[in-house]
Amino acid sequence: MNGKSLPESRNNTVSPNDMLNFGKQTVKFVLSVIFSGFILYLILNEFNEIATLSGDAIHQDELFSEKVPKQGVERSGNDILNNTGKYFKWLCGFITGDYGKSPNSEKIIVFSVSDLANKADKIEIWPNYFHTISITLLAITIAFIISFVLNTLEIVRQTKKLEWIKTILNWLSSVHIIILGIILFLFFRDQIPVIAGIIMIAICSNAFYDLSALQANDLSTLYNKDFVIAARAWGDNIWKHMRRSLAIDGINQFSSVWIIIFTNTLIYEIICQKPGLGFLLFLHFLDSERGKLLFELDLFMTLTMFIIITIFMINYIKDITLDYLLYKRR
Amino acid sequence: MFKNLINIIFAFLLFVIIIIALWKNISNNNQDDSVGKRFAPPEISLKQILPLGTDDNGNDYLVKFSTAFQYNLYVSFITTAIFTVISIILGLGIGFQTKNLSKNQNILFLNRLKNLYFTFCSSITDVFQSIPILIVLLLGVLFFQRYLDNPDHSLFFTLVVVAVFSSPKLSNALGNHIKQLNREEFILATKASGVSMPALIVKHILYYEAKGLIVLQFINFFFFTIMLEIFLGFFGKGAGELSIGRLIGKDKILYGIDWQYLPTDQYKLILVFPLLFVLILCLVTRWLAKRVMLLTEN
Repeated sequence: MNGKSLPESRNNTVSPNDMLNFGKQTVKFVLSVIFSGFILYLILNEFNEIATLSGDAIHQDELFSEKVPKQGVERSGNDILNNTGKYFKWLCGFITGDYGKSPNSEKIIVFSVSDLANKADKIEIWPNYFHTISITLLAITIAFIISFVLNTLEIVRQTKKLEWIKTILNWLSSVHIIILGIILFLFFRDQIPVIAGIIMIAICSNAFYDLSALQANDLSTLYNKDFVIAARAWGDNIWKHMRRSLAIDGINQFSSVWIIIFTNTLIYEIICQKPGLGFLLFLHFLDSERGKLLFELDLFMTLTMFIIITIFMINYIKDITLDYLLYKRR
Repeated sequence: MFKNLINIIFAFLLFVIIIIALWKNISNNNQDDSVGKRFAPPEISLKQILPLGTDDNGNDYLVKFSTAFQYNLYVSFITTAIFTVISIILGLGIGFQTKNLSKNQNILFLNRLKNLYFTFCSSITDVFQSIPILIVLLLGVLFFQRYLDNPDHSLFFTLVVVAVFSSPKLSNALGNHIKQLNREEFILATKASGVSMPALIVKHILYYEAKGLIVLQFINFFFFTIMLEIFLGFFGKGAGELSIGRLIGKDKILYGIDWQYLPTDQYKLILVFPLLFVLILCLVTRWLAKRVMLLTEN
């Protein structure tokens, strides 16, 4: 480095167009959540109507018996309209924190319980949601850091000393979390340490491989761009020139891999019986002992709505950040 | 030298997997033949080949496993074929989408129809992409188990729904590949050389240019459906037929106990074998996908 540096162009003014774009993204986010929730509600309402013909609750074994015809629900032209009304009523309840209750255990679904004495008759969402999201974020961070260090050493520093670690991780990545989770659960039951779970989530089901390949490709392209070559020739600090592009690439990499890692987290919680949204889904919908119980529409809607909001929120943040990086700082 | 050795090992493992898949047809035992009961142990070794011994009912375990694996292969093949067809249809729509159509082009009914198809493909792909597959799987299981009495049908339709929602994996990649070809003026050049549109799509794009991508995603999704069956089978929501998921899920209580209490080594083998097999299958699938990529790149 010779102490000189190439100029960086900056423009920090916020134009009306930026504000309009921000507004557009927000409207898109809200409408996407409402629309996805509506479609889900229409599908789930089918279960509920079949399981509770004319409002009378029946059990699943009765549902499949000959006494109750499966096509017993009469459909009218106003069905969609009625369901739309019901959905918006449910959505208003959801926004105000009224998530409904379980028809089987009569437990009320709440966001969080502050009073420990009331915990037994409530289903809490927040602790499970927090657990799932924090594990997902930790796993993404670990995968991202390891992959970035290994790719930087290989592409920027041009060293092949640690290539074997990348190769091993890539091979481990091909093992699916379902089979690894089942193996760990079968032999260790619920004694699996959380850190082992996080590493498993970060690497398995091609999560690490996909991230690493994408990152290597982006980094290699960026490193060979004219302005980086010019900075290298000038003897300037290349990271200073690469950081904006790295941030943009990083956001794209994060958004492309996060859904794999989020799904991995849910699978890990289901198979290894760890607290989280996945475990709630298992406990109330997948457990084979629940075959004779009623379908818990409110709980399923609440859980999936939280998942939908998280997905669209991540996309929303990604779009906003990309807009900021691509236009405002150009 | 080292790479060759790895290739030889994986090729051998692939050969073993194929033999296991076909063992039901190779062996002279049936799935329900109580070979262990019909013959005394010394005669088994002389008259019949039982590579993995027998299960607790005295049936040839490898034949049983082969039957389960064949069922998995059968279901996976059909659902992966559906996945490929849907992905190609959507991928073509994404790839051929043109942003700036003039008003004159829009007058024709056929052009409007084409536009509608392109818009449908890109919007439906966006919708599919934003929903986690696990939620789709769970919804599919809940929905079809309520409507269909046969668990095999329920599993099949659930996997079909998963295949539809997983289509962006291939359709997006294919769409981007077609856009890239368009930028390189490959499509324009092929059209100019007098090639018809169906020939351009089937022969020049799908076969010559995108076959590696399609085969790669086919292998990946094929393996993914096997994993999903194991996941559902483990929780008792899988097929009614004998499948790998059912084999693993059936004995799940036994894995937790101390292994010294298991009566024979045969028990341990039966418990470990399906898990080991699926682990090896993961690695072999990855190797195969890599080979396909290398072959098509060359």
